[in-house]
Amino acid sequence: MTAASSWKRALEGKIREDWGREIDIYETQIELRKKGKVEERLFAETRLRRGVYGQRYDNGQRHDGEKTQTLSFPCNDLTKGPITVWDAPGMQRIKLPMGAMSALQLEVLSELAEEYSDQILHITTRQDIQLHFVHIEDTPDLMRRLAAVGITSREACGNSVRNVTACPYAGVCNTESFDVMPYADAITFFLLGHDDTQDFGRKFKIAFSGCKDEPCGLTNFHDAGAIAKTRVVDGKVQRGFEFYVGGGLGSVPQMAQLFDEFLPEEELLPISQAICRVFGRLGEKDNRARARIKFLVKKLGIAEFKRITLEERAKLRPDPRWTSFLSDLHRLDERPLKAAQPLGPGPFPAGFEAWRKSNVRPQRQAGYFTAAITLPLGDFTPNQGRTIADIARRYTGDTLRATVDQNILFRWVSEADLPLLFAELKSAGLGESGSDTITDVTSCPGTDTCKLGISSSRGLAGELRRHLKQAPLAAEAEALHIKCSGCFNSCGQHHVADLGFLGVSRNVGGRRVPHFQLVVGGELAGNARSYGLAIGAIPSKRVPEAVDRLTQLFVKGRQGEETFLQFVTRVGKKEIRKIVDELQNVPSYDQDPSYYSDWGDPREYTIGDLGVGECAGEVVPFTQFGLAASEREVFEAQVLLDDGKPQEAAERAYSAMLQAARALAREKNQNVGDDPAEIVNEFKTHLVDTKVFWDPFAGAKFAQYLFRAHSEGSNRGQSNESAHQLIEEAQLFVDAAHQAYTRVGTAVP
Amino acid sequence: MVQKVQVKLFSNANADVEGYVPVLHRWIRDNVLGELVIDVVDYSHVADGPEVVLIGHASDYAIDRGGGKLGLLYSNKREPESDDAFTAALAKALRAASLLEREEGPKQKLAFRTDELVLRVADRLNAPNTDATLTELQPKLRAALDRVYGAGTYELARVGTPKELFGVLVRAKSSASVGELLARVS
Repeated sequence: MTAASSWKRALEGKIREDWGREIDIYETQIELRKKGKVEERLFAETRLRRGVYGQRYDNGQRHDGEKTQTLSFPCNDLTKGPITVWDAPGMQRIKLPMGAMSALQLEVLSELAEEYSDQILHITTRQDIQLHFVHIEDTPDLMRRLAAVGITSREACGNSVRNVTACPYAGVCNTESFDVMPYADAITFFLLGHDDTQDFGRKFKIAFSGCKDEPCGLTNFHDAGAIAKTRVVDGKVQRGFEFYVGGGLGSVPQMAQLFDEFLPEEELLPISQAICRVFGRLGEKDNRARARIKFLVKKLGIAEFKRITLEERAKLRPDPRWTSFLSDLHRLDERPLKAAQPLGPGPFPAGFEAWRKSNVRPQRQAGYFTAAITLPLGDFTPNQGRTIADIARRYTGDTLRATVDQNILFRWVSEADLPLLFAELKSAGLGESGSDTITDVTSCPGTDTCKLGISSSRGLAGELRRHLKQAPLAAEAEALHIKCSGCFNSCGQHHVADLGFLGVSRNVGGRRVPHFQLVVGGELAGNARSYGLAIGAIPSKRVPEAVDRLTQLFVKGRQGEETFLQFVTRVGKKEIRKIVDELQNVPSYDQDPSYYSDWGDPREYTIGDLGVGECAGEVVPFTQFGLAASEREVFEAQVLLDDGKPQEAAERAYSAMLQAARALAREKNQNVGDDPAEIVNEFKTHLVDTKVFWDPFAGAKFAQYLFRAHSEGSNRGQSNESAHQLIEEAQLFVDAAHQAYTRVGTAVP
Repeated sequence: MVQKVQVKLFSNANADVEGYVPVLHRWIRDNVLGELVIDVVDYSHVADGPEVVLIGHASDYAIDRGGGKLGLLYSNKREPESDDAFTAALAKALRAASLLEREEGPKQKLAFRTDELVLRVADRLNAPNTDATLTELQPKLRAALDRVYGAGTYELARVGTPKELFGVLVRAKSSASVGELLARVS
């Protein structure tokens, strides 16, 4: 045993002074909160800004499949935020700017998972690392150990600039204009803790890409997206960025809008700062549901937003950091450990060829390759983390990237080393092939750990991986991508996959059944250039069957080199919808109770205190009928949009919402007629004002979709984009109506 | 004072790990362990680590395949510091193992052998994986193991690299049942 009494003392002198001070202050806040001297909301934002999140069941309640039980934590009434029990385990998010990490950093992350978490490290869809089931009182030391190796979790959550992401191939990519890493690094540390980023109404996410056509940077769905670009002026090559703003997924996805076709490199930081100031000043603060910058850009229009931003830019006091990094753009350059050597003649380890085909790519630098480690659901163990670090040191010169596909990438591997590197990965259980294929399913945490999860996205992703690996797939099917989100917040990025799945619930015979909306029409290429739309909900347990049918349909019907999006566009969503229709039936609970639990969780999915009295029994047929009709209308709206009729599509989407609202409102007033104003009024009175149509986190957000569409009158659907949005909103409204339906029998006063 | 002790008991047979997921959910529902347990997490997709974890407030219980060996990994997270932390951890691990062995649901059942186990301390600050730590902790380790196995009936050796948690592999000369060992520490 050593004499060190604390990590603070043990790491003295090894932590940046300002980072150390911040952690000390945070630790003091913890102590003050324990003494009741810091208000819980203030403390919640304090911890969130350090990446310390809540987790499922942290309200001290858990449904065990039969009833809700109280989790009797020893902290009594002490909370770490509103309805958040102090002792309840939480999640620690750790920012890895651009997904970059050294071997030493990975080793420390592994140690932290081993000592403070549940022995698992998880890579997120935004190149962060998350540790789950962490006690808040362990977080200061956890942060100190990170800080000692150059990692801060500051602003990993909260209303702040989140992890800056970038293409993991930056610097070695064959199609990039130039390496975006020094720029992404500069903006990361320029905006971290900057005064102009402390007053946002919501988070702000930035992404970098080296080129326009590949999927790796996903700039289109970020609050700000920068795509590397060069131009020649007076015979000199200038660097800059095609710069976008106002993109986002979430419940209502928005494609980012072009802010500047060529933002010169020296303007990247000041313009970003000006955008942050405008967002902080004019962005929504009260209504969280409309506080992302995408709503501000939409409200002002991109031209006005740009005008205001440029005006703000002109007022900024010059800061040497805007351009100082440009004098050393090679500061982050990586050097290979070994000379490039060609692949030997073999023989190679079993499985090597398949792994090489899917997981290995040539770099721009001749003789060097990147090699992806396929991490199932983004998870790996501390022992595996140490093995990866060790391999990185011995083969690549210490260069690793976490990817948005939830994998880890080696760079600078000499071709000759690939078989040995593979063999070492394989012996650590890390030699799985199939990176960037249909089996490499991406997922958010979903109901496993997330407070907002509706369905088990990880359970589904795990099941799809297993299912799709059972038999060889046609090459066309193998090249597809699947992404799953547990709720409408879209952390699994389901909108941009070939096959996206969004967790929802449905009521069948008075019990809840986990479902997933099938989302098609998305495309990852072109930095996520197309967002899909939900075309129907499938019971969770039938999703693997749906994937089989969809992939078979594609393999059989594909023409030439058609992408899945092109295929769906050609055959039409009606054809795809047939598959959904065939799989929608849920057997009764008595016939097959397995439908009533989610993947990987044997508890009954239905909430135990659900009212199933006579009143609910009577209301079921009518309400279900109305909700089914509203779903059909949402789908019809999509078909109209696909047919180039945005206004009709918007009207149908609005009608779908009315239909669902009427179905619910008639429960309290059977005289509710067909007049839209009457429906909206009755719906508001009986469902919204009473908080029956009410999301525990989003409040009346979904009801507002109907109210807004109603107030817009004939202005609905003036463009494809606004019709698309209205359809998205209608789908979410109908999903929310299903949630409310489970409460309607007992809760409507 | 020692805290954060881990115990890994090895199963002498492969098992239907998936079949234990509902078992552990039931343990939460019925408060089988008599301590606060919160959730069950399925990590069966991960090779060489925990497969299914019963997450608790003070302790986690994982059906674990770390090192390629299936077993039960008990991890004390927040039990009070104690001079007898090794005995306490062994008792809790053996009790959970005994309960798992008695479960009827899974098709292939876990059956633990006791001729070998691993003890670790998940605290690199106070217990780095060095010979010095072994020297310092040996009396406490032996006190606990003497009680479980009997003095002179086992060997222990430090295992793992300096980067890993401090750990010792314990090899006993005989393999008593889990129930017998549990009776000695209860």
